[in-house]
Amino acid sequence: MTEALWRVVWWFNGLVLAYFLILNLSYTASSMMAFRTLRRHIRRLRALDLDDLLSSVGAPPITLIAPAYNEEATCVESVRSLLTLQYPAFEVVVVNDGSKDRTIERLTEAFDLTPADRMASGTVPTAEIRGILTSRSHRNLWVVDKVNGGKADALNAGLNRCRTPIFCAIDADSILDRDALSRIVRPFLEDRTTVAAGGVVRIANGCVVRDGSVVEVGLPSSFLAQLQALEYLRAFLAGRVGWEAAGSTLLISGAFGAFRRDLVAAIGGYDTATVGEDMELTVRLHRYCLERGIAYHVAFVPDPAAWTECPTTFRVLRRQRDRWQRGLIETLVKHRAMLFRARYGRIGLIAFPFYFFMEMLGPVIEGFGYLAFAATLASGRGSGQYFTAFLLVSIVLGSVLSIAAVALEELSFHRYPKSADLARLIWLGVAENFGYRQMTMFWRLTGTFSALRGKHGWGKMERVGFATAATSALDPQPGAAGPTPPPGPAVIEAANRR
Amino acid sequence: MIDDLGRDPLILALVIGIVGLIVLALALIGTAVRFRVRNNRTGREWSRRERTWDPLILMVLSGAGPDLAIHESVAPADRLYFIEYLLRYARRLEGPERAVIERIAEPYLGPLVNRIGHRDEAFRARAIRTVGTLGQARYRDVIVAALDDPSDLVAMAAARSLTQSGSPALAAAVLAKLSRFGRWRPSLIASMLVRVGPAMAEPLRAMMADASAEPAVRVIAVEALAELSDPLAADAAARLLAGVTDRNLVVALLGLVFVAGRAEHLKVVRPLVASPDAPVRARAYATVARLDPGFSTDQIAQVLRDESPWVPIRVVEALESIGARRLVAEINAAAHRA
Repeated sequence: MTEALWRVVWWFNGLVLAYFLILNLSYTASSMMAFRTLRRHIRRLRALDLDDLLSSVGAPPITLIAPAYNEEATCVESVRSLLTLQYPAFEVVVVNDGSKDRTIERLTEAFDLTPADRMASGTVPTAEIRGILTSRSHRNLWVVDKVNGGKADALNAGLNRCRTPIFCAIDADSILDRDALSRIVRPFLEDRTTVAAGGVVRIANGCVVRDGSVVEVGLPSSFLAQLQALEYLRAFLAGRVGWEAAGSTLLISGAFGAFRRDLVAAIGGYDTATVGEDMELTVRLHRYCLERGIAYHVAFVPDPAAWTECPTTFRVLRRQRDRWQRGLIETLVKHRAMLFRARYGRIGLIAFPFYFFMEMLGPVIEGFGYLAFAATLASGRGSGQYFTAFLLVSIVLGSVLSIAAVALEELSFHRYPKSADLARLIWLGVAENFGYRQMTMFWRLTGTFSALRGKHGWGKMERVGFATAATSALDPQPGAAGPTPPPGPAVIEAANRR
Repeated sequence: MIDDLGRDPLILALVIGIVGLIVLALALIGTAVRFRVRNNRTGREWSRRERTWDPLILMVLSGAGPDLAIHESVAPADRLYFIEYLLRYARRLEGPERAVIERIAEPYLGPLVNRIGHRDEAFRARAIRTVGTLGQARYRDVIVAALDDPSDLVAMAAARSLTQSGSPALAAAVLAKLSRFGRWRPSLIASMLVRVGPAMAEPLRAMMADASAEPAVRVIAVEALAELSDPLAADAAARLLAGVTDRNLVVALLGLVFVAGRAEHLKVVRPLVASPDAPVRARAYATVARLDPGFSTDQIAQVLRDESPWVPIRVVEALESIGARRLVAEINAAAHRA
C-alpha cells in the first residue's frame, strides 16, 4: 500500500516537472514572439501617423462604458479624465450599479446631471433601470442609474444604451492615456473583421496624475504594488503580445477593451453568471464566430494603456486573485467543448488547452507538487541535490522571464523613465521568486477550491480615492478617504490608496 | 552536488542549465540597460538637434536667412533625423511656409526614396509617408507606384499622401485601386477621398453606379458622396436603390439619400420600410422621417411597434437633425409609456 502511494507521488513529481517544463517553455516562446511583435508594432506605428489617420471624420464613434459601484471617492475624477480623452467622436456612459454610497450624487453635482430620454438600442436583460441622466455641461456624458446587478449586468445596461458601432469597456476607477482610444481603435480601422481589441493595463499606484491624465510614471512605494507592476508588465508585454503574435488572444481585460457592439449584442452581452465576464465574453466571441464561419479578428494592441489602482494589502490582493481564478475556471468549464476541437482552430488547439491545463489546473499541480516534493524529501526517497537544482532552475528561469518583460518594456514604450525604477524592476524580477509567486499560486489554489465550492460574488474592493494636491504628489494615509477633487488642475499620487 | 557533477549526467545538465539561464538573465539585463541608455541618448540628441535647428528654421521661414544656414547645420549622420524634424513642421504648416519646408527638405529626400525598396513594409510605408509629405511634386510617380505595393500598409500610406495633395488627378489613381483597401474601414477611406473636395464627386458617382464594381468599393464611393452631401448623387442613389440587393450597399445608399435627398426620392425609399432587414428598415424609416414633411403621429406608432430598437432610435436622430422637437418629444413619451 505504502509502496503504491509512493509510486503515485513519484508519478506526480514527474507530472509537476512536465508541467514546469511546458509552462516555462511556453512563456519563453511567448516572450520571444513578443520581442519580434513589439519591434514590428513600433515600426508600424511610426509609419502610420495615427493622429492624422484619426483627424478625419472616418474615425468610428465610440462609447465608453464605465460601470461604477460605490465609487464616490474616484468617480468624479475618473469621469473627468474620460471626458478629456483625445478622440474625434465618443460618448461616455457611466452605469451606476446600485451604489450604496453617494456615487450618483457626486456625479450629479459635478456634471450637472438631469433626467433625459435615451431609448434602448439593445435588449440584453438587466436589473431594473431607475433612470437615465445626461449632463448639461458635457453633451457626451450619460449616466444610467440602475438597481445593483453586478459588473456584467452594469456593462449590459451600458451596452443597451450604446449607439456607436464600437464600445469600450473600462473600469470606472481606471485612467486612460489621452490617446488611448485613438490607439485601441486602430485594429478596427485596419481590418474590418476586427471584433475586439484589448489594450495594456498598467499600475497607477506611484504615478502622478494631473487633470485626469497620468503625467509622471513611477513605481509605487509599496513593495506589494511594485511586484504587481512587474507582474502586469510580464502579463501584458510578454504574455498578451505573445498570444497576439500567435493569433490566439483569448482574454481582453475588463479594465480596457474595445468591442464591436452589434456582435456583442448578438451573442447576448456579458454573462452575469460569472465573475470573469471579460474572459468569458472574449471566449464566447471566438466560439460564436468560429462556429458560424464568420471571418473575425480579436486583437491585442500593446500601446494604449489604462492605468489602474492595484491592491496594496495582502487581504485585498488575495480576494482579487481568488476572484480571477474563479472567473477563469467558470469560463473554461463553461466552454470546455472547445478543448482540443479542431473546428476552433488555434483557439481550440493551442490557447484554450494552455489556459485549461497551465493556468486553470496549474495552481493545483504546482501546489500539490510542492507537497509531493516535500514528502519525497522528508521520506529520504528523493535527492536533495535534484530538489535544490530544480529549485534553482525554477528561480533563475522565473527571473529570466520577468527580466525579459522589463527588456521588452525598454524596447517598446519605456514608460518608467527613472533609472532607479529600471534597476528596481530588474531586482523585483529576482525577488518575486522568493515568496510572492508561491503566495499568489496559493491564492489561486484557494480560488480553485472556492470555485469548486460554488462561491460567487466579487468580494469587497475597497477604494479610498485619489488624493489631490495643487502642486505636488501626496502619499495618502492607507484607509483614509481622499478629499473631494477640486475643479481644475490637480496632482494625484495614486500610491498606497488603500 | 559538486562531487556528483561528473557522475550524474542529470545534475550536470541542470547545473549547465542554471549557468546558461544566469548568463541569459545577465544578457537580458544588459539588453534592458542598453535600450535604456539608447533611449536616453536619443532623447538628449533630439533635444540638442532641436535647440540647433529651431532658431535656424524660424529664421528661414521668416525670410531672414538663406536655406544654406540650416543646411550647414545638418551633419551627414543627422540627415534622417532632420527629415523627421521637418516632417513635424510640415504637418503644422500650409501655403508658402509649407513650400519653404519642402524646399529645405529636397536635398535630403533622395536617400529616403531608396528606402521605398526596403524589405520591411514599415520602413517602406514610413518612407512613402515622408516623401509624400515633403516632396510629393517631385516623387509623384514613386508614390503612385506604391499603390501597387504588396503591403496594405504601404499602399495606404501612398493613398493618404495622394489624397492629401488635394489633386483630383492623383486621387483618381487611388480610386482606381480602391478594391485593394477592402480590409480597411470604408468610412476611413471615404473620408480620405472627401479631403480632395467636391471635384471628387463626379468620379465617385461613376464608381457608385458601376454595377461591375465590388459592392464594398461602391459602399466607399457612396459614403464619400454622403460626406460631400452631393445632391446629384442622391438622384443616382435613389435610382440605384430599386435594383441593388447587397445589404451594405442599400444601407449606404439610403444614408446618401438621407443626407442629400429630397421629398421626390421618397417613392423608392418607402417600400424599404417593410424590409425584413433591420438596418435597412431603420435607415429607410429615418430617411422618410427626414424627407417627408407629412411624417406624423400615425407613422410614429408604426415606428415604435418595430421589433428592432434601432428603428425608433434612427427616426429620433433624423427628426432631431431637422429640429422636429415636438415629434421627438412625442416619440420619447410614447416609448416611455411602452
